[in-house]
Amino acid sequence: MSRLCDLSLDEVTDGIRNQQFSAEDYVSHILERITRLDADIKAFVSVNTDHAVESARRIDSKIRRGEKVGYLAGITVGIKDNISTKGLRTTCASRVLADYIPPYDATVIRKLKESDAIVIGKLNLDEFAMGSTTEFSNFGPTRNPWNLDYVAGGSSGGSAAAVAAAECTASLGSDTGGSVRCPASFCSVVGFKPTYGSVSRYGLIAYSNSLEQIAPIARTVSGVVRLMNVISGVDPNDDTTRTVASPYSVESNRNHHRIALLNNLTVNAQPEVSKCIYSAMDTLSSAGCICEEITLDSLEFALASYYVIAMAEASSNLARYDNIRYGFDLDPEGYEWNSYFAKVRSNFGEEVKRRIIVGTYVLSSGYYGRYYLKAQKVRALLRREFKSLYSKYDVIIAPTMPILPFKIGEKIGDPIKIYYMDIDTVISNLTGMPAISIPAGFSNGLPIGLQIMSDDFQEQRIFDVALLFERTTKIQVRSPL
Amino acid sequence: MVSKDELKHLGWLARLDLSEEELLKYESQIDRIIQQFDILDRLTLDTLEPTHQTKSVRNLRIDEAKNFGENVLPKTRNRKDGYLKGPKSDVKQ
Repeated sequence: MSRLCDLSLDEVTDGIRNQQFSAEDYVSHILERITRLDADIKAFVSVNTDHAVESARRIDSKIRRGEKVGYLAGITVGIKDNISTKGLRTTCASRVLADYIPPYDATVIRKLKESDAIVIGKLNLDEFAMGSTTEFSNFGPTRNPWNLDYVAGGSSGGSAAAVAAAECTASLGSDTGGSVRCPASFCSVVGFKPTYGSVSRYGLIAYSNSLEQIAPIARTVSGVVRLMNVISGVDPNDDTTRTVASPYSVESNRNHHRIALLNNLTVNAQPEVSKCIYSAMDTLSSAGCICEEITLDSLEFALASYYVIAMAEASSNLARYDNIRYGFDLDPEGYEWNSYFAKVRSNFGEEVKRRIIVGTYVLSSGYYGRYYLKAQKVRALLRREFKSLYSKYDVIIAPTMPILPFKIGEKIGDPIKIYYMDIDTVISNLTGMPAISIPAGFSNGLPIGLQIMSDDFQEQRIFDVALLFERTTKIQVRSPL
Repeated sequence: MVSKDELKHLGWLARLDLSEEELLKYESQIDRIIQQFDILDRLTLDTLEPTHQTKSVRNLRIDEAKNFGENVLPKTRNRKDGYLKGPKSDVKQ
């Protein structure tokens, strides 16, 4: 029999419901793994032990009494530490929020709890989700379970590493420019960025609110689909949410998907990555899909456009951190208003400060039209071009990341090198359209992810192709640890 | 070229005290980042309307105060007479 921690999300809910094992046994097993493994991986910033055990016992007693339990009964979900959890410290991996305890649950947390999922703890990230390696965390970097010397990706590095190490059944991250797909690719798990407006952002601590979505991670596509069936949908607390076509299905019965491979993104990728993506295209062709290559010239503007918008929104969203309502101990007595704020805000980390400064620059008069307005026009251009592509193709495929995971510390001194890692993922945040990263293979023991994108609210098309690929390739989903 | 003085000013606008060491480090980095954005200058998109958000806000809710109960931010340390305590505003500056 497999270890309990290696069971997929579906196997866990089935096993608990059919009383093959209890929710308490499962949770205890997961907590034991966190204690044993996380000193090395550093995916968790806090573990919700008492609540987890208590919730598991409540689920078990409901089952024993023959009462109905929720859709996700007994699964353990780790939550990126920028998603508000009532009564549970939420730090954004920042000194500025070191002691912040939210007075309310994010909508996604409320929905998870209502479906009997267990919040097992909070997960590491780059400070305020700004980064692509999780090295910019006030708690230190998260390590890649496939090789502990390597980065886990970011900014949701804790969310992907915890799932890859089977320290939880699934997790939630947030994806602003690839922050779930990047670590999913680097840690060989499935990470899905929903269409902007599919999942409520209420309770997600804002970084770049026109781009970001809360996004699920699991070891299998069906795990992600099941999470989406719970967390997506209209929320009166987030007016950008829309009605979605859920419940999504895990029964794909069509093989003849029309697929385009964006070869701008394979040309610029590391050769090992490019080779793997072409091999993925061959696999899909052999399975009956109709595949062809396309080039899209306007993509060369995507990365600059993304960073202009993200940094501009960051500088404005992070203006609220004044240390008065939540922060560390610095008595305001004797300080003048502005100098107090400038002093306490210098406690932001290196990357956050860099983005606030650049964001302030691009929004300042004289530069607004030159950068910010142009960036917004690129977003309109990309949306128009992708809309037209999706009239011809069901999905578009590409590498998730242009490079393989690399050693911790290797790129941290060069912010531009780190920004360039996002070149394949920012596209879907600019267009607002959905995209997934699924395990596609390994090179020298390091994971490679395949990215599948589609049109607004066409999550099912992505799931169908991802399920087909997953079934055909059978890439290892068992934890390497 | 973003000069050190400009950088200091940006820091002030963003209310960030930047140390000499940070100014030195950021000076070259921020200049290189902005240079990457110059690619946008090559674009002429006069006929295209900008997209600020891919799903627009349609029904703004009424702005109402909600009572979260006593002790809503338990870790906030600087308090006086039941209020949060902030720095004095100095109109002369």
